[in-house]
Amino acid sequence: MKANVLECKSVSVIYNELVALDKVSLSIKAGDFLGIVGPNGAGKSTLIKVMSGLLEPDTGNVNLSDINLRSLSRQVIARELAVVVQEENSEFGFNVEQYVALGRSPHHGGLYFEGSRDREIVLNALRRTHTERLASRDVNSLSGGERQHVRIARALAQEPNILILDEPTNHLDIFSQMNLGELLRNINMEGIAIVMVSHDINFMCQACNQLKLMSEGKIIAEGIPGEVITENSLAEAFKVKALVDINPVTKATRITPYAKI
Amino acid sequence: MRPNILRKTLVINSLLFFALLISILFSLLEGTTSVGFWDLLNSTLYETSSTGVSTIVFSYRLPRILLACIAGAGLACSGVVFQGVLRNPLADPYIIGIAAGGALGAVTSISLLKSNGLFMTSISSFVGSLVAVALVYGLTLLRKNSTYINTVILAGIIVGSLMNATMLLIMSVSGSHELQRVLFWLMGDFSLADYEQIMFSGPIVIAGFLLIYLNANRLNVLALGDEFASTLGVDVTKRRLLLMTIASLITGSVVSVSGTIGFVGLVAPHSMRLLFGPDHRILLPTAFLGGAIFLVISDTVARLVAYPVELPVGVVTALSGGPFFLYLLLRNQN
Repeated sequence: MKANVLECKSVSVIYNELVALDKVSLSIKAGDFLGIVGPNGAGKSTLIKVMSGLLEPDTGNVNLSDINLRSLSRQVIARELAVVVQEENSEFGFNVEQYVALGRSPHHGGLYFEGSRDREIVLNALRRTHTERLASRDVNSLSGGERQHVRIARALAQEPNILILDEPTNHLDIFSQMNLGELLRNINMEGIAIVMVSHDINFMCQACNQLKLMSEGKIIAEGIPGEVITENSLAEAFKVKALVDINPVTKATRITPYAKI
Repeated sequence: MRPNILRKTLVINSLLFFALLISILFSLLEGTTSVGFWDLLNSTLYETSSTGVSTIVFSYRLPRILLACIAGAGLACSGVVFQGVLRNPLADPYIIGIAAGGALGAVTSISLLKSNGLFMTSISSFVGSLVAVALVYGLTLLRKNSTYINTVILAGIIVGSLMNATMLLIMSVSGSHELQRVLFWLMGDFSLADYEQIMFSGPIVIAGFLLIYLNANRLNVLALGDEFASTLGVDVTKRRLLLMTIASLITGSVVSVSGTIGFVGLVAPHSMRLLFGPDHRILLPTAFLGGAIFLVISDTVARLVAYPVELPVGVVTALSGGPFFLYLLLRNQN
């Protein structure tokens, strides 16, 4: 059995008497590709924040390679775990290469100059995400799809064991979504575990090996996409009637919502 | 791949350092009494008693130039820190009320305590700026759950205006002699520079700069967002507080010896960012040297332009910085 890379043990988060996460437990092993789906306010983003160590749970523990996150410094966490959050913006434009090189910072102190190994890793990250041609472009001038690839390149430069993504398909057109799904699957095949949150259930069914369906701070269904995404579970979590079938081309589970309940 | 950043940093900063030396030399030689380079060299080497030329140059011009260097360098590097940490291109070293605090301290010393010593005014101003910073930090602790950056900026505005109002109150009951001194102080002035002021602010500015520079890569990440910096291994709360405290100490020490000189802390960081990019490893030292050059030249202009009258240096920086600011605003529109 593979070791747990990241593990949540009975994690709860309460915001002003509102229970955002209710004793959630899950574990991620090397090579996993896990998707978290659920309606707005189900606690997906809170779970992602807790797993990245950005938010300390009120009860329960998060372990990174069997060590409690609370006892690890931000820098040590960042060497194992890379996070791609929804938006980060800067008035002061870095170019793509400088931006991707920021991914090396967890491996150094407060002042350093990249050595040849760092440069090799950055180049490699650009190559794996097909963004070499953008290297000298200003990050703020990129399209949504390009920017998402560049963010992932920065995450790869951290040399993580786990990559966590929050709504990576937001604002992407269907070509860019396809492109992103392919990139993430390639990264996953290299052995990096991926945890992803998204509203796009069809995208998640195609990309992920495993899904967790959340509702009101709890995981109400988990397993392979075909088991988790059913007419009943969608009705329970989203309060919608949806047709669930198999995409004849990709063989992935496919949903078509058609009415509210 | 990219040209080596270390080499780029060293080359650019050597050139800027050379430019700083040239502007210092020019400023030493030019003035109401123009001195030739060889005259200066002769008088330094061969005159035993301090007569004419070397007195003007070393007792009057040199301390003034050195103080301008320290002030320009300090304000510019603290401007870089505030712009980066608060992620606001309009931030400057005075944004969290330090200038108002320093001014209130100075006015208190001049008008209420009737102190004539320059050093007392400096100390009192330094204390005033520290009080302002402490008040701002105190206010941010009261509002724990809101966005930190907005709270800092709001608290800075509130503390700043309260201190300004108190200062105006004191000024309204002051005599005309004191008002004259206060006014010069408020506009920023190096004409009374002496070595005591240099010994006070110089070490703070240089040590502060070195400490900030040791965090140059962390500033790069912080400038892109708190959450982002956090996921890249920076302890945001701790580093932000550390960097802002150092920048505040630098600013407070500069304000206490030179008054509130505007625009340097805004113009120097932005010019260097436009010229050499946003990487703090290059930006911090270039702003440090560029700020020094800008103030040395501005002060030379202040001495020469309206001869025989001397302008306060703050007027020169504001008159040249204002249009630059306008240019930045228009540029951002495109």
